[in-house]
Amino acid sequence: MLELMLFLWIITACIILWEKRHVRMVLWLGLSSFVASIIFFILGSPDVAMAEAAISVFSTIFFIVCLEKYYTLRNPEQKVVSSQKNDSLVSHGLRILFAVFLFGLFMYFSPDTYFDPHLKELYIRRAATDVGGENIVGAIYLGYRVFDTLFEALVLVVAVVAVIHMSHFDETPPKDEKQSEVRKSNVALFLMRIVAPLTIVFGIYLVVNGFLTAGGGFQGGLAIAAFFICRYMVYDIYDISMSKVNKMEEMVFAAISILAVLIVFQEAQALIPYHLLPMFQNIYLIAMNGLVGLKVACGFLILFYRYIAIERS
Amino acid sequence: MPANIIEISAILMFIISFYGLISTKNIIKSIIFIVLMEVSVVMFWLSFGFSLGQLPPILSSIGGMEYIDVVGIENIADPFPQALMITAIIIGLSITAVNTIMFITLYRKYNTIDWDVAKERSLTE
Amino acid sequence: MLLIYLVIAPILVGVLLYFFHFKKATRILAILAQIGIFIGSIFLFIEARELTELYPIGRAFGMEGVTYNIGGFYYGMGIILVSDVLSAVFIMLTAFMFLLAIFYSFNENNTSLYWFLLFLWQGVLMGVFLSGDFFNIFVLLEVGTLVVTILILFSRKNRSLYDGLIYFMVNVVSMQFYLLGVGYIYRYTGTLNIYYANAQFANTGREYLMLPYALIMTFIVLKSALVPLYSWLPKAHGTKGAPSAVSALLSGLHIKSSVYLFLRFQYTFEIVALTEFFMVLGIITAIFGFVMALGQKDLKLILAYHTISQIGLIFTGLNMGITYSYMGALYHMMNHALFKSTLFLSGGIIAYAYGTRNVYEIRGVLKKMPVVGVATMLAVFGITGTPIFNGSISKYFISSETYGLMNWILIFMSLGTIVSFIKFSTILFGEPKKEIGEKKVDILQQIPIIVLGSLCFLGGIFGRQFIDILFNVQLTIDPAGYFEKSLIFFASLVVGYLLFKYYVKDSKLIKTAGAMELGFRSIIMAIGLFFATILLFVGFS
Repeated sequence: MLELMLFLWIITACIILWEKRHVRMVLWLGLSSFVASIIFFILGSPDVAMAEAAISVFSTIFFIVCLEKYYTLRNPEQKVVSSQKNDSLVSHGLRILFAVFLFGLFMYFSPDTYFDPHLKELYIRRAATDVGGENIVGAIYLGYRVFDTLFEALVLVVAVVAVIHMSHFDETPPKDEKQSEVRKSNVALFLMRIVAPLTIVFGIYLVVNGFLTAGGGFQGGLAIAAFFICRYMVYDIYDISMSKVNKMEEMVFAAISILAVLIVFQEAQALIPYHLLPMFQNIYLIAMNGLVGLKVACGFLILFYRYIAIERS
Repeated sequence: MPANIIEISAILMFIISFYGLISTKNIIKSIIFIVLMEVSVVMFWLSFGFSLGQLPPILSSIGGMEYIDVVGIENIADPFPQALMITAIIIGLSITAVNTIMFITLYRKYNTIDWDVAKERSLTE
Repeated sequence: MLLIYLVIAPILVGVLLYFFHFKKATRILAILAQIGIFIGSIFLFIEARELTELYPIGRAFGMEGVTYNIGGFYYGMGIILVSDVLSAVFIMLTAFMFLLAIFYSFNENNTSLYWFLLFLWQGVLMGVFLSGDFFNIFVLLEVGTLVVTILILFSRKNRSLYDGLIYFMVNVVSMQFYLLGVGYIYRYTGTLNIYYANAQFANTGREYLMLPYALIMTFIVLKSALVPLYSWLPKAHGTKGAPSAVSALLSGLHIKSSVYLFLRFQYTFEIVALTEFFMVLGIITAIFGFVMALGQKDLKLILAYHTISQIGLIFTGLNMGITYSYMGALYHMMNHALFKSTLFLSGGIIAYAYGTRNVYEIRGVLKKMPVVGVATMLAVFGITGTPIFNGSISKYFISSETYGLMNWILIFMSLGTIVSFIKFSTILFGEPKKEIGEKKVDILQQIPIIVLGSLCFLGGIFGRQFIDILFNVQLTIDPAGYFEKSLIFFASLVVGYLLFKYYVKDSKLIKTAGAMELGFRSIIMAIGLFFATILLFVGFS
């Protein structure tokens, strides 16, 4: 089973090398990432598998929207300009040879198994008392390494800022005749009526219960963002003001960092009496997961909205 | 020689993405290969200490703190790379988003999806 | 505790500034916050200097100094911030340069987004200088890459998207190499702390470290823009769309963070570290850098290519294995921050006043804008190594104990710098050709340039004292040796002037060198080739 999945993963990626049509390339990419997420699940990491599955879908959506802009901006009569000289067979052969050579180098220089598991054991044994909760992975990125999580949230903030800054946009999204066909499709409406409520319930469940079971702020936030994106794509609802969401996102980021500073960095845990400690830890974990989920949801919502609203020249 | 098949396939995928980056002239394909490279690095990190049938590092699936030694540490997956890789995956998505936005803006300006043509056009303006 | 606030405070200030759009209040708040951060960095420096020293051999290593275990968890489970005297000096430099950059950008028409990004950038750089954890550095540098990409594409009218795209994608690919290398480190030592990993490396065999060393050093070489992997730097530092303060900070500070990481990682991996390899690479980079700089006609591109040359010189000095050269290279990093940012900032003012960035067209800056012209002259004196300026002190230390071929190579590198700055300083003399309107030069933009220019001068006279105060290392300058170097300088000046007048101006070779440019695929291919080279070197030496 595992070997089959690995093989599928590599083959779908290789197909992209020869594929010429853009939409198919992106779909193979989505399939490859999805198979990767199944492999991650088999490897015993449901958190990573959930994150990768959500990411594969989001990546595919970003690429498809990007391609939509590309195809609509392109003048159909004008041929796409590409550089005239194609690579010679010799240069292709040299490149393949070089890639094989690099692979050989990696295989030659990586010596036998030598894995030192003492940190793993420390984490498994101590996470529940040091940080709280039952999801050790969540305890690591919300407790031990919250400094990293802070900067990861910062990456999202900056990415949103980058997307806003790089694109021209207007606040009212374009109403195009061609697009409304998708939204009026009965199949889409039917599926959305069933799937969308499940999505948001699942997202909230992941966020709130992330410290007990697999899940957490990131995965839940992605699911919540998916709900709002579905709502936009199918029902054509534009009732959320993007500048307000942007402000909320920044404030949530500030709240995350302040909470992290106050509680983890200042080692506030030492001040809490012993019998209140589990409750305090649980409240901290739920609060951080909630904030992170909110931040991720806002961030991706703005990203997607800016993509859709790029003005057509 | 490397330890397990997952590591070999992760490195193989890394090399395939690298080959894709050095061989394609299409900007969109380059962005796709960057995504694949990032997934391959995540796969590599998750291959440490792997043995088939490992339980996820969640106390409820192990059964509680008392059962850790009953199950055995080597039968529980390593939580540390997982936490780091969730971070890496989210960063990867942000990178993809910024890359595609930059590509669209580049396309609007230069009307090409080819690296060499974009280079010429940026030099001549 | 101070350490964490040095990283978090700029970020929170940035977020705060993003919310408020009031023009004057935002900027005054920015200056006050920055002064606070600068004072904090001075406190950190005083404390770190008491606790650590930079041993004569230049061992910039060890978990000594001001440390902070985030969250107080059991050692090795959390992230640790460490500041020894080297980090503290860089943090002071960061706070100082950003203070000057804020003065420079005070009256420009900048949106709150600009202040937000500037403060975020500062927080990221502080984090890089303080961090003691491999993965933490990865996340910080990802944020840094994103922030710099937006900043270099800041001006909507003039931005060059191709430059931004190349910079971003090349850096992202190199970070994947880095992450792969860190994966190998975690696998073999079970820890991601730089210092604990170094302790563990003594137990693992040499063959385990070759692959992570090659991967991580490929990343460092790309980030420091050494020779095969330098192509992104002229695009990022010399691009049209970047505000001048951003270019100054990039060349002055951002690239130093990569050299700092080189120092840390080189000592983490001391079992497998290659020193002669990097020294030779530094020499090739230095020569290549000034040859390409000579072929440019854009003001900023000359400075950007020249940064490559100076970083090559710094790498040469760091890897010669001689204490004096090492300290000279460290001091040169500080000096380069000072004079290169002066040149970028004044270049920005000049380009704005004259309306062009073409070196062949700008003339007579000393007449039109005397203050800016004098500051530029001071910086040019500094960078070429004129006696009693700071550049000469650091170059003297780098070459003080070298003999024979190495000495001639260093003289040749100096000669190259002199020729490229003779070309640059043609803008200062002559009669202003174009009719420039009376664009009043902003006083607030002049203050940072004056400060930096005079520091170039003071850093020369008090060079030994500065090194003593900053690094707690006492070096001596032999007057006879220094006088001899001064004579060599003046001889090089004459030779350089003649070379410039009769050869460089019309040389075809230099013109084609200046126009050489690698495409994206070639850059990635170069990354792969370089990785293979360094792996083979480490594996079979």
